[in-house]
This record gives sequence, C-alpha cells and structure tokens, in this order.
Amino acid sequence: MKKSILISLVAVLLPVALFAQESPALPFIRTDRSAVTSAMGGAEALSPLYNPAAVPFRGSDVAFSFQSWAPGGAKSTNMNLTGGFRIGKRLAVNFIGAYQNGKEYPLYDNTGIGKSTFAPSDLLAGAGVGFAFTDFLSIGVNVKFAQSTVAQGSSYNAVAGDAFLLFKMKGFSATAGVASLGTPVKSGERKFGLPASAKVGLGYDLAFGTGALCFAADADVFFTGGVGAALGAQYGWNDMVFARAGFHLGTGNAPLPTYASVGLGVKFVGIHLDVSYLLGNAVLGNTLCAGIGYAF
Amino acid sequence: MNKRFDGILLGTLALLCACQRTQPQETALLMQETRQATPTAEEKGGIYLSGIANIYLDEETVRMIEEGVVSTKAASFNDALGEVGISSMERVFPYAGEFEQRTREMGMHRWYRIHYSPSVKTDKMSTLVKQIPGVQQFEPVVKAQTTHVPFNDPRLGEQWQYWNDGSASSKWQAGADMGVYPVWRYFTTGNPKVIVSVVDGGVHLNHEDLSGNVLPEYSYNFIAQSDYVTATEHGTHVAGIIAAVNNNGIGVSGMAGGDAAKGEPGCKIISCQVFSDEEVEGSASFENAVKWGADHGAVLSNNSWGYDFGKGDEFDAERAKSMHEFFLLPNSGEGKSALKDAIDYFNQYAGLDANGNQVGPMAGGVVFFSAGNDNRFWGSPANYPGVVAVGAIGPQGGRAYYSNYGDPDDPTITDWVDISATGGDSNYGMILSTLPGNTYGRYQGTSMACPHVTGVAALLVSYFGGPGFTREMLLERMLNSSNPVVTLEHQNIGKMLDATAAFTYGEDRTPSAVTDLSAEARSNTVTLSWSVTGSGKLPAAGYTVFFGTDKDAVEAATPAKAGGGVQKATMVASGLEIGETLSRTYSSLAFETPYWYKVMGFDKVLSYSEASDVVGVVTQANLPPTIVPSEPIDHLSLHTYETLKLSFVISEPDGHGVTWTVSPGSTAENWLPTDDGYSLSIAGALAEEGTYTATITATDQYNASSTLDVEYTILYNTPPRVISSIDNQLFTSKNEEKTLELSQHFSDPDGEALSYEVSNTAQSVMHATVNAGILYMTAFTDGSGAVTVTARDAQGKSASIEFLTAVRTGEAVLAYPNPVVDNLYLTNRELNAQSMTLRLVSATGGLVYEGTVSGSAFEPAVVDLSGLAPGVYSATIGLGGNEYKQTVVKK
Repeated sequence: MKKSILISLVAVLLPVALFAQESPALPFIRTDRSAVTSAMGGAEALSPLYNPAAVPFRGSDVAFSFQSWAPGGAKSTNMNLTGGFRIGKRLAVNFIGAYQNGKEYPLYDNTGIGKSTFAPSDLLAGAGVGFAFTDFLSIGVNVKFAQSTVAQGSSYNAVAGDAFLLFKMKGFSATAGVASLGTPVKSGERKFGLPASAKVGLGYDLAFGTGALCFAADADVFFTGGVGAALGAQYGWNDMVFARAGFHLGTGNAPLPTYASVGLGVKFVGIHLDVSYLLGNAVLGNTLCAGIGYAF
Repeated sequence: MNKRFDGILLGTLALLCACQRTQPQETALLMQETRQATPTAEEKGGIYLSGIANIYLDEETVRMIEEGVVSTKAASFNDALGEVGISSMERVFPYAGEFEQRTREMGMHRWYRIHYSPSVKTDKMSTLVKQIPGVQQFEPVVKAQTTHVPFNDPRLGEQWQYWNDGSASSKWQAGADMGVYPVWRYFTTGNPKVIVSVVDGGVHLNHEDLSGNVLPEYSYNFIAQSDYVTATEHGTHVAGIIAAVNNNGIGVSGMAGGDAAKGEPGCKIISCQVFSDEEVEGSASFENAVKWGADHGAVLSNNSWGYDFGKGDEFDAERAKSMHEFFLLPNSGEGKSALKDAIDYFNQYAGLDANGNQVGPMAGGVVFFSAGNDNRFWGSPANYPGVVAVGAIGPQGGRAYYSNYGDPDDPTITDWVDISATGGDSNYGMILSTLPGNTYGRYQGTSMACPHVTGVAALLVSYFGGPGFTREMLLERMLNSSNPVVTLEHQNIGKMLDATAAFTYGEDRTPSAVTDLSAEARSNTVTLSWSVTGSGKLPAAGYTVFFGTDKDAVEAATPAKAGGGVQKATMVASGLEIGETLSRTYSSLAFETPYWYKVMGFDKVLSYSEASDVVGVVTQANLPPTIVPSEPIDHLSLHTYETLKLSFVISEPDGHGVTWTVSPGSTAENWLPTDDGYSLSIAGALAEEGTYTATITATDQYNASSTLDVEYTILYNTPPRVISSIDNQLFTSKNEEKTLELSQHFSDPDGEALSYEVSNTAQSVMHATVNAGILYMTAFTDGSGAVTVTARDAQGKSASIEFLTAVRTGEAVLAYPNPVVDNLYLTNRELNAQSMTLRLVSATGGLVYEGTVSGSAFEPAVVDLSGLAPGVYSATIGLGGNEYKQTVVKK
C-alpha cells in the first residue's frame, strides 16, 4: 500500500518538474569586503586589500569591516579583516579573513513536514604576495581557502587563487589577471566550478588644490558565463574626508548582480573610518558596510 | 470386591417394613429411559431421595452374589458397579427367616438397594445402571414425606428410632424402629390422662420441649426429700423420649408427646428423682420413688437404672449373678425385698383409688426396667418377673453391643429380657432427645430403650385405656406383638417392640380386595389405577400386580405361584390413605399386544387379600419421535453477513426415551442441545456460498426414528462497492477536524453492514480513524500524506478509496525539502493546481533560476535543482499576485 502511494506521489510530481542551469559554487568568495571599494561599485582590482600587486605602489593598510549583507536575500552578517603590507621598496604581502553567519532557515522533509532550523555559515581565509619589478610594473598572487556550511553535516570547501600584473604610471594604473581560479566543489556525483574570471582594472588619480579625485573601473569575464563590471569614483578633501559612489553590472552567471553604491570616509593620522551602502537591487539593496582601518 | 457383598446376605427379616419405605411410581419407571424429551420428575420437584435407588437383578446375577462368586464369574458386573460410582448395595428385603421362602417366591430377594454419590442425578444413574448386564430394572426411591415428617419438630428427622428407612446409611436396616408413625397417624399421639413416673435423675421440668407434658406438682426429689427437682441429663433425656412435646416446632418429638399444633397434649411425666448429676449427701429411696408414682396417678413406671456391679475388669460377676438370682425369687421369704414390694404395689394399685376402684386409664400399673449396659447375662432388678425388662437394639437391627441379654446356655436366665427397643448404638447411631438447658443430645443405652417401650405403653393406654382396661391387656399387646422386620432371633433380648404391631395386635389386617382396577395403554406402556384398600383404619401395606399376555395364566396366578409367563411386581402403598388412587406404570411391553392384569393387596405380614378382577388392555403401536422446527424451514436462505437462528423441539408421542443426532451440512452451523431438542445458529460468514442440508435424526428406545432435513442456501456475497471517491483533504490550521460519512462513499449490494479500516501514511501529520461509519480526521502539523479507507464485509471482501491529505498552516506557499538535493517541490493551499513563479538568487545576489511552474496542495510543482551549486539561496515565489520569500538550501 505504501509503495503504491509513493508511486502515486511521484507520478503527480513528475509532470511539473523543470530543470535549472548550472551555477557557480561558493560565490561568496567574490564578495567585496572593503567599505571603500564596495562604495565604488566594487571596483577593487587596484585595491591593496584585494590585489597584492598593488601593495608596493600604495603603501600598507589594514582594515576591519562589518557587513549587513543582502537584507533582501541571504541576510548574512559578515566580519572581514584584510591587510596589505609593503616590505621594503618592492615586496609586499596581504591577507584576508572573513566569517559570514547566515540567517536561520527552516528545514522540511520530503513531505513538507517542518523539522527544525539551521543557520548556515561561510569562512574565507587567504594570503598573497606582491613584487614590483620596476617602478611601474608589479605582480601579485594570493591563495584563499573557502568553506561553506549549508546544513548539518553539509560543508563544502575549495581553494582558490588570484594572479595579477599591475602597471602604474603617474596617476594612471592598470591591472590584469585571473581571479578565483580553484578546485571545484563536489555535490553527489556532480562538480561545480568556482566563480573564476579573467579580470582587468583601470584607475586614474587626479589631485587639485585640497581635493583629489580617484576613478576606478573593473571588468570580469566569468568562465561559468556572465560578465561583471564595476565603475567607481572618490572625491577626497585634504585626504581627510571622502565621498564615494559607484555602479556594478552583473549579467548571466556573474556572482554579483547589478547595483549602485555610495559611501563616505574620514581619515586622520592614517586611521580611516569608512561606510558604504548598496542600492538599486532587490537582494543587495540596503547592504551596509562599515569599516575601520589604518594606512601607513 | 467380595467384601462389598458379604453383608448383604446377613440381613434378617425386613420384608414388610422395607416394603413400607419404598414407593414405586410411574415416573420412576420412565426414568429408566436414555433421555427424556421432557424434564424429569426429579428436575421438576426433587421427589426422589438422592444417592440411593433400587435395582432389580436377574436370577443368575443374584445367584452369583449369594454364592459369593461375583468376583470371578461376575467380575464384569462388579467392575460395572464401580465404574458407574455405586459404593455399596444390599438387599431391599433382608433375609426373612421363616418368611424367606415366600419372599423369594415373589422375587423380592432380587431387589437390591444401591448407594451412590448424591451429586449424581437419578436419571443419569438410571441410564448407567441399565447398561449393566444383569440389571433388569432401576427404581428411584421416592421421598415419603407424608409419613416421614409427621410433626414439625425440626429435629424429628434425626430421630431414626421413630422412622428408619435405611437410607441414612448402608449399615442401617430399614424398619429397625419403633413403628410409631402409623400410630401417630391413625390412632393417637398420647393422652394427658396417662401419667408416667420417671424414676431417674431429675427431669428438667421447664424444658422448652417438655414443660407442656410434665406434672411438677407431683414430681419429687427423693434424694433431697424435697419438692424441688434438679435437672439431670439422664432423667431429662429419658423423659424426652417418652413425652417431648410433638408438633410444637421446637426440638424433638416424644413417643407420646401429643400434638401441640392440634392442641392435643400428650401423656404426663412425673419426675421421681433418685439420681443427681452433682454430688449430694444422702441417698434416695428407690423403693419409695417407685411407689410414689402409683400414689400420684401414674400407671406406668419407667426405670432406666439398675444395680452397679462395676465396669470392665472391675465388674463383680458373682454379685451380679447373685443379685440376679435374688430377683428371680418370689417376693416372699428369702426373696422378700422392699423394691419388690414397691414394684408389686405399683403393679397392683396404680390406677386405683384407695378403695380399689379404677380411677386411672388402666387398672394396675406396669413397671419397666432397663436390662443394663454391661453386655452380661445378668441385670437386676430388671430381671424381677414383676417388671418388663427392656433390652436395646441399634439402627442396624440387632442387639446393641452393650445390652445385657439372656444366657442361651442357662435355661433359668435365658429369657429374662422381655422385650427390646431402640437404645442406640454408637457404632451405628444413637438416640437424640432432650437435655437440660433447653438443649438436645444423643445417648445410647438400655436406659434409652426402656422409655421407648414405656412410650409405646403410654400410647396404648392413651388409645385403649379407660374403665376396664387392665395391665394384663396392655402387656398382652406389648409382649405378644413384635416388629416384623427386626426378629432378634437367638439374641436373647426378647422381641423387638413395634408400636403399630401392638396397636393392631389380634386384628385381621388383611386388606379388602381391589374392586376398581383399571388399565390404560399408551404405546407399549400400561398404567394401572385402583383405589387403596385396607383393613379397619390401616391401609394395605402394599400390592402385588400380576400381569401377562395369557389371561388364563394371570387368573390362575397366586403370590406363591405364577406360571405361564405371568410376571409379578410388588409395590408399597405407604403414605396413601384408604380410598386414594394408586397408580403403577409398566413400560417396555410388547407393542400392539393384549395384556391382562390383576392385583392383590397385602398387610404388613404378607397376608393377601382376594385378587381383583382380571382386566385387559391392548398396547398400541410405536410412534416415531417428532421433530418440529420453530418456524417453517422451506426455502431457507441467508446472506453471508446474516445469522439464521432456529430451534427444533423433539418429542416422543409415546413418552419413550429418545436420542437424537445431527449431521451438519456446513461449517456455518452451530448446534446446541436444549432441554427439548436443539437450537441451530447458521452464520453465513462461516461457509462458502452454496446450498447445504443438515439432517436431524431422532430415535426412540425402540429404534423408531424420524429425520428432518434442514436445507438452506448461503447467497453469493457481492463485494462492497465505491459509490463516490473522497476528495483530497486540505487542513489549514492545527487541530482542525473533518468528518466524512463513509456510507456516502461505500455501499454493499447485499445490504450488509460494512466495517471500515483506515491506513495513513503520515500519522504524525494527521490522525485518521473510523468509528460507527464516520471517518474522523484531525490535523496535527504541516505535512502531507495519503489515507486509504477500506470497507469490508463479513466475509472479508473489500473496496478501498485512497485520497491525499495535506496540512498547510504556515505561508501560503512552501518549498521543500529543505535542504534540497535535486527536486524542489512547491506547494500551496490550493486544492487545484495554480501557476507559481520562482526566482532563486545566490547568497551574493546572483540570479540562478527564474521560472513559472504549476502546482497545488496535493500536486506540488517540481523544480529540478540538481544543476544548482551547493549553497544558500533566496527563493521568491509568486502566487496570485503575492510574493513569498523562503531561504532554500541546496546540498
């Protein structure tokens, strides 16, 4: 009797089954964790906290940020610690550590009977090294470990790496490389690739009087499909107060959608406080990030 | 096994009294049959004595019993007796001495009384005994209440000395009693003009069961020389035997105690106390005590005492013999004594006034003395010729072990015991009478036998006494009559006194001839009826019936000789008055055959009346038993769920015993025996469809039989059907209840009531149960499942309905399972499928799925997420213009 009932259920369910296309695994490794760059549409390619190749030209910096991420979606709470350190004139290292605590979600069995709840979490840790061959050309690589726990006993791990070349001449900067190349995530018999991409970035700094403008632009072509692009600008006054704005474009399987961003920052004797706010997207809208750092 | 029957030949003459204690009836003969179609007489009224019955044996079996060869040639007979639970048996009519020959001529020696457990019903024992080879007839013993309990004194039944039918013990002899019941019934219970002086220990004058029959004003304490009589056990016991008040509803009965219920006082007691239960100074004048009675109106003097010569090894035989010899001497010269003077005085002057005129009921008195309890040849002063010496017997009908008796080897003292009476015997049974303190107890001794004799004398004087009646007349009746059963030959204690014999002494007691004999046949059973005849007041003791198919032979038959195939049967008429109708039924006769009958009455000494006229009757043909159903049995049919109940009354029109058997037609039948046949219950569910026939066969004891076929059809059982399906059931709140009337969904073409079963795949989600055809459902928690309701008929055939259940108490939509591995189901609260949109974005906000699906609460939409990378996703589900959000985790 039970068998016949199961068969009946299956027969009822099958006619309305659909199929979804494959998506990238562990997308959180592409989350912009800096209150500065997130305010600029996520244009992070030239940030020393992200790209170790930039550290020899930018100086050292270390920052901690707190994110209320995607209130319209995952609603996770992210805590991030990043830093880049110049060692001598040409060598630099950087690191990243992040922990994300997702909101509890209800568990249901195969018949829709509610069981309990579970809170997912993510962990990201990595380090990199940069080296300037000349006064205008550098290279940087880093390695990251990512882990996502989505349910009791269900954790997924991957190791990813970035590699960039960076060119800098006066106020102009350009970088190119690959991001998030790494081991696939296995679920059952299937393997899912990380959101790896080919990445380029451009930047231009312009100073005038007590003010300064900074422009940054990124572009990603994701190997799993989709394109991402970010465009951001910053106005600084006396290197003390900063206003930022940006726009991010995401298409196809790009891990981040399209959204806009704004932000503010203050800096005094190297200590900087920054906030960012995302808008223009149902999921990422209202994402708030606040950070504190020290540049030296 | 021999020992069982050793004693049965040792009985002495018991013919006549034994005849009085049995009362064959028509019902008794019918009980021989295997099984009656109607309740037995025993079941109706309990008219038979339990645990005893009479059986009639064939000559060969009796011969083997008497020759003591039952354990060899008749071993099977003995074994059979044991197998049916018969513990002992003895002749109904014991060895009759000089009358044994005529007893045997009548075949009365072939009657044996059997004893078995009272818990065995009479009809069952009848059936068992009839199967024993050698047993020709079984006759229950009818309770003789009319004569057995003449008074309402509650302990009269324990006073075997008044009426001993031998039923209390196999060791007792029927008729070993005082024969006083007929006297009480037909003559007298006593007369207050008759005064008895009890020279003994003091009588409890105020005893509740004595005070009405004592004369305290004439009583005297000869020890204390006082009017104050102190009660003693011995004196009170003796007095109670003589005159305990009868029919007063208290205690015991006395020999001459009157009839209180009728307002008739009994004979009066004067207590002349010469003994005391306590140590007192001085000694009584026994002589004066004897004389006192004569001077105070007594005509009878009871003396239950004698001289003490020691007990056991200390018994002074020489002195006893010497004293015995002294009392044999005339009361003169060397034989002169004060006691003899007192006795002579009593004998001469009792009942007379100072001038020699008779003023009492008898001219002169009689002094009774107990013979003594030493088991010796001597007993003084009882042996004084001027007194009546009384020996004792027990209920076994022989001399009590203690009673003094005459020396058979010494002619001078062979017959000094004049008469015997019931004194009790601790080996068999003692005498119950009054004791001080309004109590009662049992004693044994010639002291008890003596007042029984005195009591008979008191009754005789009460009835015959009056002017001109003398002591010699009294003694003639007492000493020349005797108990016809207890002969006491060679026991040297005189004859056994019998009150009835004494009252009818000298009379011709032969009953008159029967003049109204009639015979009626029913099948092979003939019932004779006639009016009881008698002599004077006494009805006939019994009747002998002669019958046979040869009229001439019947006419020629006599008690001593009955040839030509004539059969004789003897019956008693105890309890019936002259003129009352007596019936006797003879069964197992030949069918459609003329039979001839005549009867002759007899008295207690087998003195026969003239024969009645010979009457004839023709027996009828044997009719088979009838089997009558409680209702017509044509075209019986039933469904499998039905139970058909019938009953069948089986009767035997001839009254014969009948047995019946049933041959069942199918396993659906349950036959139960009833008192008068069978009850039948046919349960249709217990057999396959089809037509069956059961057969009842009833057979009477002569193998005439009837059969009845009971044909019935168990109709085809159509399985239950589904009338309408049951809609899927959606619950939107916890504890929500729903009910369904299952008769709206199921039916049985046969009209059968259906039983229902429920199975539920998600019992934790919803509870479903059926009661009285109603399906009850209660929601517990969110979830879904399937319920199957099965309707089943009595034969187990079934039909089922399956429907889905869902409990949705949360959001209007739900995506499950969560986490999901491959298929994600989208359900809602809609009974019918609805269009739903689904958007899935990753934790970083990237859109990974967007589509439209269709589903309901029971048919959820399915989205294959197997291509989705593991992670946390935000789902937005659109339904009916509303959007609902849910976190979905892909594993």
